[in-house]
Amino acid sequence: MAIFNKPVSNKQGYKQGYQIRALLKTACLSLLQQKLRSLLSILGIVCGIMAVVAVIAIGEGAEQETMRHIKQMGITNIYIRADQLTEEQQQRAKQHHSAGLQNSDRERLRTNPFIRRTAGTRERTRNLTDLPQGLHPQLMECTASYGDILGIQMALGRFISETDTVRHHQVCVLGSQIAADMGRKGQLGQEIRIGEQLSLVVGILARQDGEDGQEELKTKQTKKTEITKVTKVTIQNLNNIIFFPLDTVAGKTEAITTTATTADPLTGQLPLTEILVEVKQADQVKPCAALLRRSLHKAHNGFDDFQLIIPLELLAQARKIQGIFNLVFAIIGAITLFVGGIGIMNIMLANISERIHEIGLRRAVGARPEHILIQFLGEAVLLTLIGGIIGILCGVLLASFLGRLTGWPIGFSLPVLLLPLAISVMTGLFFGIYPARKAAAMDPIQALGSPS
Amino acid sequence: MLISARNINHQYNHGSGCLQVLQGVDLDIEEKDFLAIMGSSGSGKSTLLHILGCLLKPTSGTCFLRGRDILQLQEKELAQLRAETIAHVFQQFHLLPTMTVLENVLLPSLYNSIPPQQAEAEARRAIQQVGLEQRLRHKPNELSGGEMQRVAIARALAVKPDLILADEPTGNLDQDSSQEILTLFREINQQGCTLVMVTHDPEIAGQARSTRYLRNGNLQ
Repeated sequence: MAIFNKPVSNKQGYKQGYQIRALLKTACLSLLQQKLRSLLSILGIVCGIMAVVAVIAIGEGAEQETMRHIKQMGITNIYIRADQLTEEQQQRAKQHHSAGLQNSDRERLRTNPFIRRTAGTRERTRNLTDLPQGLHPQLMECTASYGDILGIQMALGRFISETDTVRHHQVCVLGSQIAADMGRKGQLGQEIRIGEQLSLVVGILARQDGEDGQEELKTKQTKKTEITKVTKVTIQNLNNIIFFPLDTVAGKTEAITTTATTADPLTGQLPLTEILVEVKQADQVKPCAALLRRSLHKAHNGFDDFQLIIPLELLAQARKIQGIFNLVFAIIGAITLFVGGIGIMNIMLANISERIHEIGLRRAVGARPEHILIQFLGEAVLLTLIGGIIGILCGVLLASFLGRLTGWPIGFSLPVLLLPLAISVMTGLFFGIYPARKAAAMDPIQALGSPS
Repeated sequence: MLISARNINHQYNHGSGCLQVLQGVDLDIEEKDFLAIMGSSGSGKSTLLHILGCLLKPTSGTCFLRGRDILQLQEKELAQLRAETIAHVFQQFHLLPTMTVLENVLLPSLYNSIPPQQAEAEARRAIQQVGLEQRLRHKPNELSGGEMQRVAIARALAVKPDLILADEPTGNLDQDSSQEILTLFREINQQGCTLVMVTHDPEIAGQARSTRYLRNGNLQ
């Protein structure tokens, strides 16, 4: 029983594990002892974390969706889209001798050293005559390069080729959905009648990712006039399109484009719906877009009947909006967690004054103030951790429920689940430190002798 | 000599002034002694016991435990003394209500250097020594007062201390239970453990080996 040959430190590894287990058990027991009170005290944390998880998941889903759209549009691409003109605007276009977006506009871009390649498309609204009822594919004339720029994958056959456009071949390529809907008629080698003209099916697209129907993305685009106007950017659902070579339409007058019904008085050509420009490098997109805008403005005699859609800019804008959204959300979450944390602090203070004898006793049997600090801090963290886990589960359920109810995409990634967990632990540490320090600083004799 | 305290002075400071409780107390405790300290309530006997138990630092004085001045030690070393060398038995037992008998007895092992398995063996042996081996899994509220105090004694014994300090250990017990506790103390003392007991009851004090009286802040 000699006292001085005992080691001074008791911090052996095995002892720490033993201590942690024992303290964890004490913490669980004390929380279970007051089940209702513990549950009520973590309610604030549960709500806070639930809100955090649900909104992050919805925000993340929206961001993933936006990114997917924009990446599908191509980061190095610039879309020059013809504006839909009102009658008054058409009058003004005539005064300016602007014939809308023309293939000649596209030809002119070829000399631009920043540009790798260009494509032109013309949307047509005239329907096929021999399609089964209820099918409404979109009809689109395009150049061969359209498939290359968008990286279109073929399931069968080939896409529109250069030769098709030059030689005006009567061919067409089907999107996967329309091909499937048309059944036997939608197979390679079949002929599809449009107006008076038969087109040979030479290719069928592989299925593209994304939901059915047209997907619309609302973004804000600042125009030169400094007025912010909302532009609808339509991403074509490639699955429901029938492609034809550009300028091979029978009876050109029957075709209706979205830009104007009148053809160019000089060439007799109909205007294009869209010119797709692929820039060589992403960092050249911005200067290139400015250049395009200037040259088109000049070519259209000062009448801007087109707009530039730049996915890279949309991406930047989407990120900016997402950033604001995240900030607002972080503030709301922080407020909720602050309120929840005060609840935790309150309950820990009540806990400590109820267990004041325990604190005194532990000190009397050899606990150092650090031991008491760790014990009560650990209990606070355990509380918030449980609250965090319940909150995450509820948040996941809430987000899935909202996603199903509204059709919003929901994104769950590891950070969505781990970040709130880390936040709840930090809340426990932050709001638990004051009560724990108070407990640790107690005088053991006063603690033991205080009236129970 | 286990403890040699010289000229211990202690005063409590209140808002309205200070209260001198101990005035130059000298106390020697031999190894394997069983000492009773008597005094009326408020005479400072508990204060003296807290000083000996490293829970309280006196205003002035020296207190040597086997030649080492415990009043000069840091909190960490004091905590180690409380965990391994000096054990307390309280009037109110101070058992943790959520823990079983065994867990209560194991509590000091959280803070001392005895390996966990050995600590559990010691705890079981101590519980057996106080005659509660049938009550290992019981909670304190399922025990009688005498049994609770025996659990508290087992908790003290389990760390194999050199000194057990008992503050009115029978104050909350009936006659029979008190006698059981005192018999147990004598048995523990015969096995070589030094005991210091504070009481105001001469009959209880009479069962110790030696008795000192604390009057007006002085030991006589």
